Amino acid sequence: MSMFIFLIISSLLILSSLSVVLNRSPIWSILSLIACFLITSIVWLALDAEFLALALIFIYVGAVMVMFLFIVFMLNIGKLKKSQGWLRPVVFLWGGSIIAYTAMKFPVEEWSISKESMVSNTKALGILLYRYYDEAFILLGCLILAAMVSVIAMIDQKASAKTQCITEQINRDKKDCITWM
Amino acid sequence: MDVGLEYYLLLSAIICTIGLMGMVLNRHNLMAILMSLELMLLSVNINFIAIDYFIHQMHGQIMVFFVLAVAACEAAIGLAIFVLLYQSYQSIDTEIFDQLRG
Repeated sequence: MSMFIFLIISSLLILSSLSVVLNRSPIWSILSLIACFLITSIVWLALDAEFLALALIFIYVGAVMVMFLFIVFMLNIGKLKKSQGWLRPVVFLWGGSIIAYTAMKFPVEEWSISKESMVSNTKALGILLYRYYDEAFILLGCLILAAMVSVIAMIDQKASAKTQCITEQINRDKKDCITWM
Repeated sequence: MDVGLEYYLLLSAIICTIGLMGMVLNRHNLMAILMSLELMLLSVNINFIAIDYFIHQMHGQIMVFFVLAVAACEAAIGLAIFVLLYQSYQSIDTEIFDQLRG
C-alpha cells in the first residue's frame, strides 16, 4: 500500500475508533465500530488477507454488530453517564504517553515485501487449517456450541428454573405428602 | 514508497491504546466496555496479519480466524449476561452491581 493511501486510511481508522470511545450515545458508538471494521477490512485486503477481510465484514459487521444493535435497542440504555471531570485529561495523558513510548521504539529496518504465492489466500488458509490445525478447528466448533448452549440456557431460565412457590409450600399438609402409607 | 511493517504496528498500538482508554473512561457502562474490548481485539488482529504479510507466513491468519470466532462467542455470552442483568436491575451501570461488597 502506498504511504498516501495508508495515511488516509489509518487516520480514518483512528478517528472512528476515537469516536467509538468518546461518543455518549451507544448507537453512534456501535455505528463507529462498524466503520472501524470496514476500514480495517480495507487494510487487511491490502495485506493480502482477502478471506479474513471478507470474514470480518460478514461475521463481525453482519452478525456480531447487528447483535449489539439489537441489544442496545432492546435494553433502552440511553445516553451514557459522564465520567468524572478529572478522569478525562488523566486518561488522555496516559494513553498519549503509551503511544509516544511506542513511537519512540519505532524501528527503521527494511522489511521485504511478500512475494506472489501460487495459490489464492482462501485456498492456502484452508490447506493450513485442515492440515495442521484440525484439532483446534474441531475444538473451536465445540466452543461455539458451548457458547450457544450457555446463551440459550441463560436467556431461557424463566421457563425451566426451579423457583420457590410460597403459596404451594404453605398450603401443603401431611395428608397430601404421605399417600402411600 | 511502500509502507513498512512498523507503520502497521504503530497503527495497531494506537488502536489498542484507544480501546484501553475507552475501557477506563466508560467504565460505568458495560456495553462500552465490551465495545472497547472489540477494538483491542481488532488491533491484535491487525498486528497478526501485518506481521504475516511481511514474513511470508500464514499461521497468523489462522490465529486471527480463531480470535474472530472466540470474540464472537464472547460477545454473544456478554450480551446475554447484559440482558439478564437488565431484567433484574433495569440498568447496566456497573455501579449498582455491588451486592457482593463486604
